[in-house]
Amino acid sequence: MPNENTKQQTVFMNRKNIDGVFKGTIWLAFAICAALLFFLFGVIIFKGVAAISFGFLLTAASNFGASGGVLYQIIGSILLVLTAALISFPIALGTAIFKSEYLKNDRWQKISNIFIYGLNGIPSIIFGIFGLIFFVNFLGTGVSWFVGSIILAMMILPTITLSAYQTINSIPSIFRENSLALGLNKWQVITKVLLPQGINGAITGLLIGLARAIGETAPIMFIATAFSGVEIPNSLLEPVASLPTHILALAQQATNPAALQNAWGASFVLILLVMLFSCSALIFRLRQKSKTT
Amino acid sequence: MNQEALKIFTIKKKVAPKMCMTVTDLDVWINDTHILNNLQISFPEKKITCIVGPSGSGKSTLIRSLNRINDEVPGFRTQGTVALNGNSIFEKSVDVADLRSRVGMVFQKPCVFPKSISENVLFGIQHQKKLDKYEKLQIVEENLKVVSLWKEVSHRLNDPASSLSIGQQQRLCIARTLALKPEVILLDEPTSSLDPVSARAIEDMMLTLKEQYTLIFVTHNIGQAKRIADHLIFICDGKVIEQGNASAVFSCPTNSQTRAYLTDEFCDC
Repeated sequence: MPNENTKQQTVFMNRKNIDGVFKGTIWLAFAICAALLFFLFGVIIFKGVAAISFGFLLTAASNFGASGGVLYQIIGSILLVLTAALISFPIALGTAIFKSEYLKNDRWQKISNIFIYGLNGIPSIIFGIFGLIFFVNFLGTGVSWFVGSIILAMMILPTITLSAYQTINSIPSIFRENSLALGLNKWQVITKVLLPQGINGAITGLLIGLARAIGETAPIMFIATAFSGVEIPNSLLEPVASLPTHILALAQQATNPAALQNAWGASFVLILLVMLFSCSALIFRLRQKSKTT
Repeated sequence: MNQEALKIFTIKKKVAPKMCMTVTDLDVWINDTHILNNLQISFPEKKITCIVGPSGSGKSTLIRSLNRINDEVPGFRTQGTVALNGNSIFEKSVDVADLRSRVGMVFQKPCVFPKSISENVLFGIQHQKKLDKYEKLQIVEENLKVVSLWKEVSHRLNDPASSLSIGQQQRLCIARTLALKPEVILLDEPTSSLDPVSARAIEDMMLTLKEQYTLIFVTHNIGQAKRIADHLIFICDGKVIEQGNASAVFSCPTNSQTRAYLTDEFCDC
């Protein structure tokens, strides 16, 4: 009997130890993750804040970016992503509605998932090369704002589609049944019941997509942007300036401390823009949550 | 003797109610599951028809086939006919949205839209026709009065409908259906998620509604069926075991299964 007791005690101790080790490991994982984020933000803020001033935000770049500011880069980046949003949002919303309300077959659901996740998994440089070969060379559009926005729209399409699909699909089916039973047809159910309840989720997806798109360099560097001599484009067919490609070009002049300083400043502005989109996305997500509960 | 029989026959013929909906040879499958099996049912006009039966017997599938709300269920398939005033509802030419506004439905769990109380009453009707402000007010007042909700909510018609209690929400759902002026109202266990007082209020309301509407009511509460039914249908395992005048079926059921179910709520089919 005493033997049995000691055995039980050892098992208990082992369980307790394993529990402790497990707890320690996940705390460590969390600590590493948080430390990385703080380190990155810390460096960018520390190095970037020195370059930031009203002058930096409100003047054009000069001397190949080593002096002057990033006004046209900020405007260019915003123009690129807003146009991408205008192109992508209706297509993503349509796809999400189709997937949630019309595609009832399980096999086709799976196939559509493969398409969407597949599109999401394509490396961004491939989008850039595709844009260069198809739009710039084959269609002869030249390096332009519009082509950059089309490519960015393609990139963020899966993010918006999935987010919109998840919110629309999670609306309980009793809302569909109740509105159908009141004599509404499918089109009315979608526009009067599902979209008003699901639109915040779709907008959350859009903002997350935009937060990603505004930081992309590879897809737009060959097809949409020019480094110097660009102001606000007069038409969709002209090139724009953008923050990420500007940072890339400045970083390549690493021997010039003034250029490097401006690269940190531009990085800081870019991070702020990304955070602006991410925080808005969070607000919309919370609003969606309060609407459904 | 013959004359006597003829007299009874003519009296019966005179009082025989007009049938509003008829179900003929109806079979229903969902995927490969055969849920309803060769049903023959008539629903008398302006009466309360109660459908009772154990859970899983196909009561809900039957009632949900009558306004074709089951069309949305993947794998749903029917054979046979359901006719509303003599016209088959499964014909290709039938406008399903129009059918559903003629055959209204109230579900088990009240479901109000995230809108105001008055917008909820108007939700179905305003998509059917254009209403001016006066007509809207009139429809809201008239239908909330029918479901005895007017006194409770007339001072806060613009409040969100979700602020109402569950019992009030269910009455609002009924008002919303009544606003469409349907010919038939299907009620799928409308009181099962409510407290006893709200359930009684809805029962009383149904007794007044039957003067104007044909009511088809699914319930698993035999006491409730006894209180309100004019016509009773007992369904078990997808088949109609017995149907007829409610008081007759309750007082002397011809089928032993019906008797077992009505007395012990037990069915061995």
